[in-house]
Amino acid sequence: MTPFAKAALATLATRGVQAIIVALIVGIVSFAMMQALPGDAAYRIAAGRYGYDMMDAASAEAVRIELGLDQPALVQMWTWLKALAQFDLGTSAVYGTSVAEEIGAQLGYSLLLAAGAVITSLLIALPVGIVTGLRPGGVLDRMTLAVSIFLRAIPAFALGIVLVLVFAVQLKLFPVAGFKGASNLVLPSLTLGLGLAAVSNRVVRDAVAEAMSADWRLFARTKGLSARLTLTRHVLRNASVPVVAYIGVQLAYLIEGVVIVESVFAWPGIGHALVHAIFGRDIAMVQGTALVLGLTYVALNLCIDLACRGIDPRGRAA
Amino acid sequence: MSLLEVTDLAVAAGSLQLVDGVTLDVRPGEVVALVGESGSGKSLTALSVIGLLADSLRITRGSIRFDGVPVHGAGGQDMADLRGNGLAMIFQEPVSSLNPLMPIGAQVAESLIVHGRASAADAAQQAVRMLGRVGIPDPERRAHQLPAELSGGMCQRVMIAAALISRPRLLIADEPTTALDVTIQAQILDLIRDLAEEEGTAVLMITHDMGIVAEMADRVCVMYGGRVVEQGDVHDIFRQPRHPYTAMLLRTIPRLDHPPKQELFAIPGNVPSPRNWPQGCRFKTRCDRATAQCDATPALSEGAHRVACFHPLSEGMT
Ligand SMILES: Nc1ncnc2c1ncn2[C@@H]1O[C@H](COP(=O)(O)OP(=O)(O)OP(=O)(O)O)[C@@H](O)[C@H]1O
Ligand SMILES: [Mg+2]
Repeated sequence: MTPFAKAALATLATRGVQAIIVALIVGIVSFAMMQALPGDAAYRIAAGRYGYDMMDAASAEAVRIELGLDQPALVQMWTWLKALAQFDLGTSAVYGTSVAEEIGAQLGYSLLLAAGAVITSLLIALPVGIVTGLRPGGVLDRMTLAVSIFLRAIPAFALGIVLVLVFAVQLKLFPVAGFKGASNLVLPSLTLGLGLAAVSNRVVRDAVAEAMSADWRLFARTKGLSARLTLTRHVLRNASVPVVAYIGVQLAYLIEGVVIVESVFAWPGIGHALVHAIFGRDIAMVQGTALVLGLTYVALNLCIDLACRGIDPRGRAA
Repeated sequence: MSLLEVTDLAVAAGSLQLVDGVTLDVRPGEVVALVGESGSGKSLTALSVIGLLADSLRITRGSIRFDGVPVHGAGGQDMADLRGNGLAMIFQEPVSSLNPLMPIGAQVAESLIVHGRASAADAAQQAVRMLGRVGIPDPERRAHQLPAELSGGMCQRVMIAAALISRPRLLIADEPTTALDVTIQAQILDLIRDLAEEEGTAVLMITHDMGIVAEMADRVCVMYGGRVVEQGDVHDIFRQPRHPYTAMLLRTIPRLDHPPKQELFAIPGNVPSPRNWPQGCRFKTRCDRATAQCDATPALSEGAHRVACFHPLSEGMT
């Protein structure tokens, strides 16, 4: 086995263990959270099923018995975990549909949005970071620093609303919300992408500036490489290591952002479904979506790990 | 004819002169030592020659000719042709001067490839051979290793290989052993001397160690405060230094024929920084021979043994 494959396998194993731990923690925490919410879950679920005006104490009681909400919390928890061990996420308390199927339909949209956000952030952060990194302390550098600080201070939902007001309501360039086609992707991706780029353009800038002032860059120049060739053969490649690693750091922000932005834009994704399920006290849906978000986080981190190993050969031999 | 001819070179950062009148020449195949205390402008002189001064620095005066052709001011393309072709350079920090992510074989081969002097496969083979010549054991295997897997001394050998693979006519070595263990220093100096002799490569050896000068150099060029104060044959200068500064430098060499307990000589006072250079002769503040005449700037005399001093030492005075 090559050292690279060996290291990749080790990463895989670590992340696998992490996935199991995440599943347990997410299950327990989301369950505890739902228990701690005020109000009677059975009432809310019955209301979700039949509508507030169509339900009564009897239907709530029926729901309580049907879903086993009358049983001790630990028993309910155990039931969920036991089903999970058989890869069964259960059925939606409100709609009676399979949680796995619901999530299967939504996850694609969320991943699409996440990919759109990351690509948007790179389209902004890479050129800006490279140009400012080549001239640190210059006018452009100071300007983008100010803009970055400003953007970082705005919460995602507020930025989303501003973008909707300007580009959807006023300029009518893009649709306000929902998902009908590719044009729906622009504003939510931009909302998240700007938030990501606000930080990552500085990471790119620092990485490029550091590589530009490195001794090895000067030595490469003495070998006759032009400034441009030195940039492409040496500087950008070395600078990409911290940049890719930083995408891993941003994953938590990204997933949190997806949940928020999906709600703002009524995006048919898993984050939107999570928020909806919390309000409806749809315990199975909450646990299922939270679990999938957690596992997605682990899986994306794994991708970043492997990408880092791909670009940075150090540590491969070890 | 001289291979390298620097005449009255001046380098400035904004309005601050850092190098202010450097005149030196290197003939084909000879080793010229450029000596002087820290901050005297040795590295800036070298970087001017190879055309890689930092963006904040400018050549404000003087001329640099390589093989009779003026290089300073020539288009960037000409300079890039010369670098890694006729002219090569190695630096003080061997580990940080190599790209940490690139196998050493590729770094050694690079100048051949960018100048189109060999195909990738051929260049890789030549690199392995060159690594063997600089004393890297098992070069075939080592060529695939990263700098982090090599010691500092080995990295310096790699840098030497990368510089000499293009068979340059002039190698500029900027304090190539300062960062190394004393035991390794001698080996590296021997290596540079032997390879340069075999290839007929001239060497401009920058150092502040008069011991290295005595070991290596055919001729010496002494710098102080951004100027050349004395230049000549190494035997002449060691036998009869003419500038008081050179005389003091020579007294800093530890000697075997001195009583071991005797304290090493240190030049009194400090090197003034470029901001605080005195009017006229820059050494006058530390010189016991200075008079009112030294408020004017002494010119570098003509001839084989040149000195810039109004009160040079003469036979029998030291
Ligand atoms: N980019 C720069 N901007 C401003 N000043 C600089 C710059 N580079 C070097 N200097 C200054 O120019 C002077 C000469 O520097 P140089 O590096 O040539 O010295 P040196 O003789 O090589 O010394 P050392 O033995 O320490 O290497 C120093 O005072 C240094 O601080
Ligand atoms: Mg120096």
